[in-house]
Amino acid sequence: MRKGLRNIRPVYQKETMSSSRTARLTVIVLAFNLVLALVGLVQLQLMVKNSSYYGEMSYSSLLEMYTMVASFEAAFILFIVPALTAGSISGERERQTLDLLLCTRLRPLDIIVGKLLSSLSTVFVLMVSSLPVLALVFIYGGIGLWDLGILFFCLGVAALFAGSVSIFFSSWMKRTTMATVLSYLAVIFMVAGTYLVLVLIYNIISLMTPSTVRFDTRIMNLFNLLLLLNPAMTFYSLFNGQMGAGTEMNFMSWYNSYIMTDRLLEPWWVWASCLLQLALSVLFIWLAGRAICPLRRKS
Amino acid sequence: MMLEIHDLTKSYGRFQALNHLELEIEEGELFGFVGPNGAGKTTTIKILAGLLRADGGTVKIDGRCMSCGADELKDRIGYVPDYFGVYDNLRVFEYLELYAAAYGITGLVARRRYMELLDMVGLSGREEFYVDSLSRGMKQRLGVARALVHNPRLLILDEPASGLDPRTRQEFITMLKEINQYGKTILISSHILSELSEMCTDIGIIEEGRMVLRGSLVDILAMVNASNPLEMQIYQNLPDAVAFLRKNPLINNVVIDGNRVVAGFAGGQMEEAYLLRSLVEAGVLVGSFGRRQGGLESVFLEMTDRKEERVVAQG
Repeated sequence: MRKGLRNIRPVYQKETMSSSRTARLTVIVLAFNLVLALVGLVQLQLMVKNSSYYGEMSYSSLLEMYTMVASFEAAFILFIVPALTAGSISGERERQTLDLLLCTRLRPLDIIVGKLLSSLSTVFVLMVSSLPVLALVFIYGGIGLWDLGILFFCLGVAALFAGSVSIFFSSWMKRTTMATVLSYLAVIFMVAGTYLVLVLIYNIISLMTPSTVRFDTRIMNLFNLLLLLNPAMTFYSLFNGQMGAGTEMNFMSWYNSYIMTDRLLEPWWVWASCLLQLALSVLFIWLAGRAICPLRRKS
Repeated sequence: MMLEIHDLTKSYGRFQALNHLELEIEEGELFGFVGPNGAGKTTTIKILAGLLRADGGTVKIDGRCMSCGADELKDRIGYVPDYFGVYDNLRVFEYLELYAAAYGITGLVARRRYMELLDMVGLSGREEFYVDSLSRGMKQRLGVARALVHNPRLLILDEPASGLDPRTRQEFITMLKEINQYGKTILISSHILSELSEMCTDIGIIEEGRMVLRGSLVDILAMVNASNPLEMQIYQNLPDAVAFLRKNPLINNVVIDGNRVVAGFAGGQMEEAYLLRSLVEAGVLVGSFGRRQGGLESVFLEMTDRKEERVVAQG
């Protein structure tokens, strides 16, 4: 297999054409915006209600509305990406069209990237369509275009990460059902599993530490880096910074407020996690390409 | 030489699918690739199409070897598998445009190309149809058009007519003959031997991953028929004819069935002609005279029967 990309247009064009012919995209955009609008309106109503009760408008509640809407947006995107991507390669295999594509001059990576970009285009449509709801925060200010740009960048990275994991499973699994199940499990692991693993590690270290000795948080800081894989933590860190809560991150505060995280990485957490997730995305895409390369497949 | 396969081997675990396969196909041939299930036909075809890696051996297509680069070979091969492989929510022209673009053919060139192909495969006027609205026969024709979209020199078809009704199959055969006349070399694997004998100029029989017979269809049939018994219809003087035949040293085992006589004959074509003349000169009224004609089916059964014999012998 010659490495690299050459011609992603045919697959990308075919995928976008096919998806535009079904009601799927319309339904997804409608559901997505309905959820966001509902979250935004409820939050706005709550703000108005509170202001009439206290006689003043809390500025932070407006930022909370932004956080809430953006969090729902991130969660929805992480939820929808496996559904859009997990069947892309296994579906070709089930339709018996994958070999026909591989017989052409298209390289395995052309097919993988074409498919992934098509799914990410849907995510891009979702992100753009959410702008009116997110623009509610511009009424009073506090969140600027730059902040919104960073949010969209992080959403894009999260979508790419979840999409690359999903297309990896789609390439390795013969059946779409299996690929979809594994993709969702992987996303759930990234979001919740990494945190639970950290709690488990904390408990094990606590058990191994004699009660007379003070808990060494430096060891825990090392394991905290596992959360760089967690897109939810990326958004947590991003919103903390945008809300003016500082860059200090105590990820384990929900579980035990005494465990602090690595101060060195804290200011750069968003960028470090995005960079790691981007690097892993490239790795998963490459592995997916290897999986469908006919001359590497197991007989 | 359009296709040269030398010493090709391929194993799946302990099962050897291809056992030092040798095959050569000249330019312009319509070659029938015949063999029982599991003989290695599809494995060979998948290696040619770049979908499987061979364990050993060399493959040259139009003078280019596999190691020269997959792209060069892909440009020279059109592959039609034993399934349709179509996207239901694409129109016929969009389907062909997709594959044309996959070979880097776009725009007006692609349009001109697929219009020509649709005309060639008899789907002209159906370019706006959705693929799922086409019949099985039409989908198969579309598959051939797809395989030809980049104008390859060698068209490889793996069991293309399976599942087609007799009329559609006949139309498909006619279409392949026309494509062959356009100058395309065709390698076709099929179980339906009658259709192969109808269209192929050459055949090769593969058995246990080896080519056990290869040659022009006419020569192979002549070779097989040459060992078949003589069949003749005698209308007068049957006892004289039988006595005359029994005296001939080249004849053995004369069987009489009404006015039909079947006799084993060890001579060649000249001896056959002399025998006929002798019978006529002896006053025998001969209605018909000739070797029993065998088809590709009998050749296939004869060549692939050895495996069964070996199994029985070993058992």
